[in-house]
Amino acid sequence: MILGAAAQLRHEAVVAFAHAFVIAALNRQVHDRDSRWVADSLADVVTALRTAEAIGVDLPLMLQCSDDRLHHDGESLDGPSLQARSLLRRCAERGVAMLAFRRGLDAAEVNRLLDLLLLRRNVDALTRCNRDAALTALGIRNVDITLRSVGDPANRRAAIDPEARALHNYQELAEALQHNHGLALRDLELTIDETAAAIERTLADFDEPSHLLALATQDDVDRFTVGHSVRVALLALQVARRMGATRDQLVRVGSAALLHDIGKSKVPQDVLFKQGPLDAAERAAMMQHPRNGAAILLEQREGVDLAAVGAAFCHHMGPTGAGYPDAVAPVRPGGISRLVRVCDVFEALTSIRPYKRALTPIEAYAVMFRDIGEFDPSWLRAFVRTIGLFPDGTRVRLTDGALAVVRSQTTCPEQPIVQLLTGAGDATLAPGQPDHFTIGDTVDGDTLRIASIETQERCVEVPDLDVPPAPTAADACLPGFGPCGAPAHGG
Amino acid sequence: MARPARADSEGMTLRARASRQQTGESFPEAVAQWRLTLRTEVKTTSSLPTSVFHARDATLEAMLAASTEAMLARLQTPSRAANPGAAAVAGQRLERIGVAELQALPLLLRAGGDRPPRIDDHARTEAIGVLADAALGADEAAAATAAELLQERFGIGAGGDRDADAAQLRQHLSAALPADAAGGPALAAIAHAVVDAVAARTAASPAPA
Repeated sequence: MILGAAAQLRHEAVVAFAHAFVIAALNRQVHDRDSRWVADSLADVVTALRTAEAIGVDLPLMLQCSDDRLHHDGESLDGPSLQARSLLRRCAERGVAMLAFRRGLDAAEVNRLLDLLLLRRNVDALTRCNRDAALTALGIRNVDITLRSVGDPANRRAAIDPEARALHNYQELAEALQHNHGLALRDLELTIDETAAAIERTLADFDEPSHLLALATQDDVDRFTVGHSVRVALLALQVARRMGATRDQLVRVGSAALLHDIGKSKVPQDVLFKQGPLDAAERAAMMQHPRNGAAILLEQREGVDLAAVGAAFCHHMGPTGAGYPDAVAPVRPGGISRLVRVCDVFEALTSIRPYKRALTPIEAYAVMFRDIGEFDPSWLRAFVRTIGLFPDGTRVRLTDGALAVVRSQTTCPEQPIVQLLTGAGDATLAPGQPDHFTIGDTVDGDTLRIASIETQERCVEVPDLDVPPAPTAADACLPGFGPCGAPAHGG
Repeated sequence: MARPARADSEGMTLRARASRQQTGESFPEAVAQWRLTLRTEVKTTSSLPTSVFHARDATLEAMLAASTEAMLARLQTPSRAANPGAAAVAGQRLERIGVAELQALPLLLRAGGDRPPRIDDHARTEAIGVLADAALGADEAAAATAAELLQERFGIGAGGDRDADAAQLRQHLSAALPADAAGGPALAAIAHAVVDAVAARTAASPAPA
């Protein structure tokens, strides 16, 4: 969908409001009702509503709730939906179809609305005959709640649509992780089995990896760095699967990757989300999170896979153990930790942070190879060859001026298969003109290559990448990587 | 479609924050922020209703809106000639990548001749090192679990001969060191300390025979 600039701004304001509302609900589920964190996030909801109104969004601002997503004006709000699973589930329990927020909403009223939506004792408060009385009793005057019609199949897509299933899986991973971070924060027993079960269910749909990885590029609310951890887990699963890991190994990899930052639940949030540089004491607190994470996992009565403990402890270590934490005894990271480290750094480099812009994948790889000693080179190479120098979905400009999108990988990472969106010089594609080809193929006498990568905010020029004439013995020994030019196995 | 704005810890979107700080915001963001600021200031500094400040001529307002939208749309379309990425947004760092670094990637991917990585590589060495660290340094509950696991899974402290156990542990730990590093007396001391800690913490529950 292409929006005009003004419509785009309004859309972003709605997304920001939905994010704020989801964060407030998450905070209510983790912190005390009257805590500072809840108060701050409630104020953000009110601010976001006012901002939306100022930018021109019509009030009341309506959020529709299906079983798996938030929507506005019939359009799915995928980013805010990623961590909204428990909120959506509670809305579904109460039969809520739509929330309409009006001018005049204040923070206390949002908090009372969340009482209504989240507290177990209010699960029956929104029956048709009770709704108005409940809203009056709680003093909710600036939010209208529309209930679902009887038999409304709000989740009918989930059973048939791979994209909907991928969203569901992502939400499930995020919810499991969010729940465990909240438990760790309060020194309670984690639900490790549920995390492993969520990974198992994700694997069931992992034959559609592009849908999951597409979700991994969505901006979600990075509460407790949950979004980051889910993305790291999805990347790690992709690479491990490509390297021939068994199903049991995949569950271990996924669980370890998902929980690798669990120690951050013990880092003060002022430090974790600080906008500026950290001072020495703050840095020291942050650098404790690997050791804290290992300790949290060791304290679980149910017992936890030692690979997850290792990944929590070692994911800031290079292959020789250099990095942090400064271990008392010599530590050499294991295979899963090495893979998680590669995924962790790649995800960080390709994400927006308050202090930095996002690199494209190929730029991230260049940075990582610059510091090759920080990584196990075999895992780094396996990662790049799995995800691709130009991952699926990347929009590229070719040397003849055509715009194309990367559709799949071949065994040569610099030669993906692309689909043309326009012809040479940006001309319209002629009907019947072949639109899929492999970079490096000769078309009408020209050998086309990728000239630039076009992201939403940047245009990154790509130099001529030398294509070696033949694969080496090293290529041949990597499972799934055959001779140059062949479609990548499973890619 | 543009990526939706990410909410930061204070709930304010990064875009809004960047605009508020007047640090390198794009033109449409600046316009949106300017409109917001203007309306907010009007509301807070004037007793007149906001509508007084709206354009009275609907045609003029529509023309202004259309021309502004067209201008913003052009600004939002990335230029093929220029590389906007070369100019970092003020306040947000952008790593500089050399052309040569990008060009080298295909060869780097083929270099090394390393064998394919394996999930379980170094798993035992990692586990023993992490558990030894926890047994010595973690809080009570984690240290106790680490001691139990060292005894149950790796036989550390199960034999009753602490010197022999320490020698065995030292051998395990030295696997984490580079090939040319022996570890020396320091490693021996660490191994003894870990064995002592395991013995102390598992004394009440001896390992099964």
